[in-house]
Amino acid sequence: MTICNRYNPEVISCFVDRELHDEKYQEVGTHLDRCKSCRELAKAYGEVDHMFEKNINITLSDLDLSATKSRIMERIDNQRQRGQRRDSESEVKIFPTLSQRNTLFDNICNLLENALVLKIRRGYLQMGLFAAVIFFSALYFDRYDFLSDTPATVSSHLISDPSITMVTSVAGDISSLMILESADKKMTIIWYKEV
Amino acid sequence: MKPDEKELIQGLRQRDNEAFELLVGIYQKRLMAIACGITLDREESLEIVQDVFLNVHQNIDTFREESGLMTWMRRITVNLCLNWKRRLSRRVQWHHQPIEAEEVLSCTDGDGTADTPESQYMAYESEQILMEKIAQLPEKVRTVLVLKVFEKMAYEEIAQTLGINSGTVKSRLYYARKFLALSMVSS
Repeated sequence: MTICNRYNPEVISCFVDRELHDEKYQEVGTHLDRCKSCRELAKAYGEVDHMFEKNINITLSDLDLSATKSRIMERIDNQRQRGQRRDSESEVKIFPTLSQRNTLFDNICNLLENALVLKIRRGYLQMGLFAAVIFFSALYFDRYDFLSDTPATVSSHLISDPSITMVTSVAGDISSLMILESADKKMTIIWYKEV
Repeated sequence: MKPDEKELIQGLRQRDNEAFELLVGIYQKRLMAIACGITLDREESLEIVQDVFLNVHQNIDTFREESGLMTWMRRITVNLCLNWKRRLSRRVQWHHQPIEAEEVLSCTDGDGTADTPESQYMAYESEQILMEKIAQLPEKVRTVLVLKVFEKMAYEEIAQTLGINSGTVKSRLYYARKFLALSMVSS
């Protein structure tokens, strides 16, 4: 296939797709009326599309649409019944199901969007929420000033909280270690600091 | 969004069976064409389209109505097709057998006139070569071609559906056509 150098073949491809602005489209159309090689190229591009579409349509021509529709409705029904069964079986939900977690997150995102009167991408909201959790957790633990306090001062902060008991502590020249337990939440807190 | 589509969405949100049946009836053929064009596997396309409608049933409450239903389902279909191919290539070394153009021999071009046996055979050969070459296209390129050919979408619409820019759409389409047209000419 000989190619004329007047237009880049990509322009001919855009012409076939009618993706050129009006003036350019007219210009290329006029050229195609006169140039056999560009006309054949445009025809070849169009033929490729036409043959692909024809082939797939032939492949699907004997598809029993009502049977596929029935199959789809059957699967939707099964899904619905599975969902109802799951809801009725669980009496105590300790952790929400994935779909409930997603709905909860979506509700939080919708509330924030409404409050801020902004449409924010879900990904950014997710990052923001995560950063907020980390920040407030850091603020909470900063109450005890772990980074600068010695075991004695830390334990005095913590032991003033009646739910926390110190199990053991070791203070050395190089490092200090303290192990605490909280009675109510059954957590073990290990505090370690290098001097 | 058209007013009747709003009613359909309302029915879907209420989990109305009739609304789902209507949805499937309207859109399944189009989604099948997209899935078949990308995967080139009819049976897998059937499974994928079923998964698309299940997905809609499960997630209709999160559908934001900024775009139409078809736009949303088209995106789901494309993602499921591309994920299918990735899962398949990881599981097993599989030599893909493209959809054969066997039925072409018995088809006329619609005007009722039969071609000569020679021209019919030439047409069959061309279509077989074309489908083999289409199977060799990278999926990202084939996906763009499918959306253009079957959905007649503009470059900008294809770009938004796939999350790429329209320049990339233009160059992928050009690459596909150049590759396929040259293959047809050389055959």
